Amino acid sequence: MPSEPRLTTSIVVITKDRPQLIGELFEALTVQTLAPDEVVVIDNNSASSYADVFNAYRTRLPLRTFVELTPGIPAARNRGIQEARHEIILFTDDDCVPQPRWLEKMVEPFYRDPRIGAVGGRTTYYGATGTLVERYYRADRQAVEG
Amino acid sequence: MIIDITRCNYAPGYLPKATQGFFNPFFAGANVAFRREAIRQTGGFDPNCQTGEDVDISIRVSRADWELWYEPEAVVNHQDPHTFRQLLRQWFGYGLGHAYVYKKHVGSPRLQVYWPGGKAGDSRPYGARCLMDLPFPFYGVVFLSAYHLLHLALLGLMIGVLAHYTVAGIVAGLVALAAGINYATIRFNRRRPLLLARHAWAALRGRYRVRDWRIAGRPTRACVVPPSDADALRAKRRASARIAIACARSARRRGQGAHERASNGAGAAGSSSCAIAPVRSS
Repeated sequence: MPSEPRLTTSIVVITKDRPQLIGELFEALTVQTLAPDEVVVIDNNSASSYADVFNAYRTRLPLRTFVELTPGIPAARNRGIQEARHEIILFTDDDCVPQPRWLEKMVEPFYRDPRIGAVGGRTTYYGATGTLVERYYRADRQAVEG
Repeated sequence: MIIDITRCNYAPGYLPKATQGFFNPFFAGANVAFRREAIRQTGGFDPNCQTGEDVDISIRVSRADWELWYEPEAVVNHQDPHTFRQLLRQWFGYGLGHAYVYKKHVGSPRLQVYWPGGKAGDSRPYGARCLMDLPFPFYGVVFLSAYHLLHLALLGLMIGVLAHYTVAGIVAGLVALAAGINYATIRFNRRRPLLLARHAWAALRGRYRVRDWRIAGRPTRACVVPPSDADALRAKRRASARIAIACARSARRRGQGAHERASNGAGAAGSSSCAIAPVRSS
């Protein structure tokens, strides 16, 4: 869009014991309208193995994976920051599925104004199993978010 | 200080600056981007946070003179918690974690009671109202709303505060206060005496009627769904019954007044004075 240098992107994903969910996220990242420059995955000392899913996506995503032994979300996210090599650092979770234009839209505001330090997107909710708890949760959020 | 857990009314674009004693907009860790320089200046996430590290860093980035921008077109789908256990753990955890964030960012110990609400694009941030703001021996926020999950967070917050200050009596008092206010809210909203039960029932049937949501008689933003025919008919009947009762009362009053003024002769005025004829509902 502008004449400034392109802003490069690192997507940081922290995960713990959810290899079955993260594939969906990786799939969504491969179809982004703006391809990420790297995807940093921080495994917060999981008991289960991520080797299969990492190997499946290594050729389709610029994947870099690390294991952080210190438990806790902040420690894992800080490790992600440490390992990220690009200008814009994006965070998402292993139980999330970004829509195809997510990355493009998240980066756009940073070009608009150099004073913008953080950009947040909209989060929508979906139930994978249709349990009562899921429906209640969504109804509760809808009551507020409209 | 309020951490806007409900995130009900972010307008697209620049968010208001985080200020002490008022709202602190934040971005959830599941859908946020930072400029490297902003992260470097603030020193990254606070390792002392259990949860709420995203709230904490949003506040610090905003106070370090960076702008926060909300982009509603950047959408992430997030899976709902499947089981009650997960749900409880998640919201309870938010409350627990936020106790530390409050302690860290609120200038002086205060107790604040907020009532969220309002419409999108309200000039006041999120349209929330501060019902009470008192100096207090410890930091606390009671966030009242029709948003039930928030009460789980509130419970977690109380226990989190307890862990940080060990002022058991005050916490117990605050819990009682919150329970009391919630009870009063439900009593006040007489037409919806069992808010939680209705809410659960609506979800159970998979049919959620947002129109039912009225906070203290004030229609919320969600009240846009037109009433169904059955509801409209019921409302009409109720209205006509009310008019009929009002007319009967005024007639009786006039009748009595006439009797006091003049013992006979003026009584005829009472029977025909009702301006609106009672509507008969069949």
